Amino acid sequence: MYKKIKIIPLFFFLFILLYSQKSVAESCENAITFVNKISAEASEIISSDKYTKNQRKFYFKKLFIDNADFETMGKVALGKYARKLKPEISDEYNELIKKLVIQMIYNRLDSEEQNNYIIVNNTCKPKGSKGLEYLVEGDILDSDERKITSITWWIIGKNDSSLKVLDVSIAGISLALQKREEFTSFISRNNNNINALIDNLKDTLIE
Amino acid sequence: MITKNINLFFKYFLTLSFFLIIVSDFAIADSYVDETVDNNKVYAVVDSKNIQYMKDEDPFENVNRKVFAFNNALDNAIVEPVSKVYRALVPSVIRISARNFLSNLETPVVLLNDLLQGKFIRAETTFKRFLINSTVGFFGLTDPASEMGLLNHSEDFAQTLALNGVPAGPYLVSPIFGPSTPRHIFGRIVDFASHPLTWYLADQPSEVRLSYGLLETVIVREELIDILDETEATSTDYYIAIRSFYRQRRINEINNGNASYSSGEYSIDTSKDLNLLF
Repeated sequence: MYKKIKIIPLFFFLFILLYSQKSVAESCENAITFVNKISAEASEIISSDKYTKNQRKFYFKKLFIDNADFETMGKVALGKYARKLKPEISDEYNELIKKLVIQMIYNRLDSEEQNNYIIVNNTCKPKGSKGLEYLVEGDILDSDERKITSITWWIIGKNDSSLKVLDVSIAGISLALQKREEFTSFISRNNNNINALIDNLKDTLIE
Repeated sequence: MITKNINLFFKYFLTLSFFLIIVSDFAIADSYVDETVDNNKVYAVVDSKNIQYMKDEDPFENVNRKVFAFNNALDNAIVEPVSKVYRALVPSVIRISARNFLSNLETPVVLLNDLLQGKFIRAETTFKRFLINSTVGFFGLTDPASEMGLLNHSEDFAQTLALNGVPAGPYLVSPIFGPSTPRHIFGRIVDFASHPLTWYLADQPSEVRLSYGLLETVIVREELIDILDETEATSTDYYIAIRSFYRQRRINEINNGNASYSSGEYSIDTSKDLNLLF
């Protein structure tokens, strides 16, 4: 009887362990599927002959607005100042972040020659204490399927079970990290004033 | 002539080494500062293992900004316009060939560092690439080795030092050469010395050396036109953007292109540290 009592918690523990591992594997599988879907759409927009440059911009913008979490992206970019973002300015800030990211994509599309890219995402690792974040890694290949560089997607799961992109890191260069370094340095040099950053972002986007 | 050059090189090498040792001491001393005391020096709450990367290792920022402004002015006035003219006039095929040629010339440096790092499979790839591209590839002008699955990779002495635990030291902006660290400067000197062209060009007239240097600068700068224009146009602080770009790129090179989970953004536990609500 005593042995049975000891075995029950062990079974319970093993069940929890197996169940959680299965759950993580399923979530990771979903994250890879999500990223592959975005990658395929992005490749299609870049490579297809049927779009003009302006159409390409339009569809890329739509792809990003539908699948990126600009609000969290903005908070990550603020780093330690994220907690100081007051509700009355957060909407304006989030809108500026959205415009900034879209502007960066537009600039890139303006400068890039039309090329055929294939993005293959194949590994995923969960991260974060809540188990809602994933790092999906893959490769960007040319039309001959030769690796050009690596790509890492930082994906977060929302409360409504949807997945959103938080950051894309190409060849090890993370947009979120670059922006965080810029923003925190800028705020720090302007007496910890987030409004100074917002004014600067407005000026940058007008230019 | 060669003996004279060697003597000159070692004089330069020793002086610079001395300077770098002093500068590195600053960096090491700085790394013992308690991160929790000066919050302005830490970008975000990150786990203790990764605090070193996130810490603002730019103690010479004021001087660096001045040098950066000088480099930027020089770039805007001369290097960028010349690179744009080069792009406009020279067909893409020739520009790619020029890049391939320069990359092939770098092979001895890459091979040496592959071997120093004990990466023999990569060393084999580098050696095969050199053989194939120098022969079938018309002296490195084309890159048939990549088509055979032998992909290009970069290695330098600073990366070898990094893998052996040598710290990068503080961020420095060198006149003309741009973003760097003491480790990278030291590595560049060793790479310069181990590059066969250095010794070949040493015996050439100064016009030849200067022409080669300028041509290499224009070829490299042309490749960066789009990314730098875009970064400048969308950054709140171009200096910081370039610093971040440089650091991330170096970490990626040191990790041989593999994503590092122990650095940068990946050290942040978004939900816990930034108190974000999903």
